[in-house]
Amino acid sequence: MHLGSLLHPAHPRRRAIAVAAGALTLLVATAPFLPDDSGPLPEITTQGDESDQPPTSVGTATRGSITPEMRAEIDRVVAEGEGMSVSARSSTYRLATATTRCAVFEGQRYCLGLGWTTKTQEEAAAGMADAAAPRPTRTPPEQTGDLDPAAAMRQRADLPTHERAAAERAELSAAARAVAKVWLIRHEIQGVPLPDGFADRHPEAQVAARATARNHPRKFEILREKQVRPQQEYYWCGPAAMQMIAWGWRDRRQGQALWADRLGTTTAGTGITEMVRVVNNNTGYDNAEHAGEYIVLDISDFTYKQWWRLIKKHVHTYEAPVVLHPVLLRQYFPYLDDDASGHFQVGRGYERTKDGQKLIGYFEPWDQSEFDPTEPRIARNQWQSAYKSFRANQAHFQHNLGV
Amino acid sequence: MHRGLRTAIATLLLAATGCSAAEKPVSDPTSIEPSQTPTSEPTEATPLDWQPTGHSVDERVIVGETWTAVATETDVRFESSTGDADDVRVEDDGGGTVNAVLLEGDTAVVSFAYGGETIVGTGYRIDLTTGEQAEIVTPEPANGGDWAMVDDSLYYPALDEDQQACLATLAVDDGNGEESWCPPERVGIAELEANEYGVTAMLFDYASDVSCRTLTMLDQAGVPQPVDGPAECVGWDIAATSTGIIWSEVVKPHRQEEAVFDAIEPHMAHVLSTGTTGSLTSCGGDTFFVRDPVKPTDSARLMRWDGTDVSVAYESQSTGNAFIGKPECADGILTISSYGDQGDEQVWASVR
Repeated sequence: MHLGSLLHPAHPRRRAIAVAAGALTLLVATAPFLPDDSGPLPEITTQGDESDQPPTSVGTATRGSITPEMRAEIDRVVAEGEGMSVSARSSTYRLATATTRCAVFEGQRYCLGLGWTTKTQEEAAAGMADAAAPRPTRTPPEQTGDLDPAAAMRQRADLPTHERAAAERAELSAAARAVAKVWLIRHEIQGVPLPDGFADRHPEAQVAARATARNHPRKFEILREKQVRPQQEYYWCGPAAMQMIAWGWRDRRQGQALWADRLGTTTAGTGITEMVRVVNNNTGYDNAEHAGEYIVLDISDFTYKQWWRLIKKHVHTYEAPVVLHPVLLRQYFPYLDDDASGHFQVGRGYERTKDGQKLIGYFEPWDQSEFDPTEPRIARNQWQSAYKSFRANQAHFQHNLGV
Repeated sequence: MHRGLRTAIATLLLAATGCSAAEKPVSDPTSIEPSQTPTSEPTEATPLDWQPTGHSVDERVIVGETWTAVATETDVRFESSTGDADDVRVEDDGGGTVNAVLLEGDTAVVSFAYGGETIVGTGYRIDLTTGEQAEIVTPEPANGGDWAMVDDSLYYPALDEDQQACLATLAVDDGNGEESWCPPERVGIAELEANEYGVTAMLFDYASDVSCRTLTMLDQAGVPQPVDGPAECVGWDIAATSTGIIWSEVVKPHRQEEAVFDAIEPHMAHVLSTGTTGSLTSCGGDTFFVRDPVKPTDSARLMRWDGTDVSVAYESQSTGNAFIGKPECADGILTISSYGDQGDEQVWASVR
């Protein structure tokens, strides 16, 4: 019998306690931030056993410390930005090269505004420049609240130099503290060997070393189906997604305006780095019993199989929602009347049907009927082809997730 | 609850149109009692001759007999298929993004949509032989939504004096348009589809968490009349066929992506297949919808209903991890984008 079948839906934390009780002591000692002690109240259902899938560990990592080498790398990248002349009026190419700069922490690359990636800095900047320029593709006529590439770069470029440097330092510092999480995902999902001495350098990742393998069930979901709300403003997919994530953690609904404020949402939308920051700072889904520190992860080098494994691991093993980041095009989401922009959804379930079809469960904040009189209202809680969601994620100009 | 809402929509429709319950819609081909409801098995059909468009699936391409439309974010370029005419480019001065692209012979209609809370849209009539473009002014187009064209008649959502979305009709050739029907309060119009057999639309209410939806066919006065066949509140796609109607029903609201497609021909109802909601497309006298793989060994399929039989018109090379976008049709030619883990392709075929 696999461990998942022993779980009682009303006691989701029991699994983590059984697996990693010793690690908790360690985490209390090492983690500088445990944000919310009110505890999660997710509703969890388990069905069957997806026995054809390889077992996975329950490893994750909370916030680590910043080493002198990391500090030097942060200083380098921030100083590089301070020496650049850029403004909101700069050309797209100039904006992209100036704002999409990357740091390497323990062999993993983090690019400002994009997240953890295997791309080079030049490739990442070229990708942003391309995304910000008009091009002959099906592109969105309607904004739902994801920050578009040009707006994202201009917002950062428009800051006074010292404010921009402070924002970049904060973003890079948060990234550096999460490098162990990145290594664990690369290792467990993509099969990359961990570097020598990893466990010694990262006590915050000790859960992984002690973890017991467990199979994923055929179907699993978290968060309560009724704890959903449509976005109240056309540019509030971020605040609405954040509302539903926090609602799942606190079992208490807080207004979307509050989340818009915390996310720094403007009429241009919300950035995914802000989504991840606010999940880390306002829920306990980032603790050792769940996903560990949320990161922005570029999945452009992921195969579909790896992406699917990551979703299952996050939902079942971590019992934590995924910040999905698709582009809302009709070929991926047939309920749309018009193509729309990049978007945030809340990933909260998966299923391999008896026929072998793979489905992803998510909360959809976008209620087109609210802003467009020509489309009927659909249920906020949706299940659809996981492959379509994967392609929608890959088709987004940033092709990343909050995990 | 849904039954009540559907009844309410139907009642409002009757009140708005002056019909009594005893009156039947004009030329209603669905006012028959189906004798049985067999599940149709796909039959062998003459395979279509699929040709690559030469474009990536990331581009929106609509192949017609004499022109091919290539749409970008902000404009549409009509290229002569024979190469003996200059390209015609259509873009919107107001910065709108391309929505509907309708092509029939040397005539095209392009609509542009706007983000935010804009309620007014834009549309243009284009004579491709001269390149002349005329903005559609009256009735004023609503933002977004479905547009449909058959022969010289254009159907689109337009705004009335109260800024409510109504159904408008317009003669494409001379630009004469009129507001043909405005729905009752709190009722919307979507999924417009027009072909030689009739014009169909979905009506829905704005009040429910999940809209109660009623499938209709326009009568000769241009008024939507509920059709017999679709279950209450769950219909989505609908099109008129040579023998009756074809429609889809979303059985599980949380699986909005998946619908069951049914058809009625005289004295017979058919359960055709599951398929992708919103994919129903009329072309060359038949109707098509797409179907995702059910099993890992299945291809994504384009299904064809000719009014009597259902057949498979296209199968993706990829199996399991595959799907097909909504087909687009011009001059009896279908263009589809097929996505899959073994490679994507965009192809066209004449269905006549």
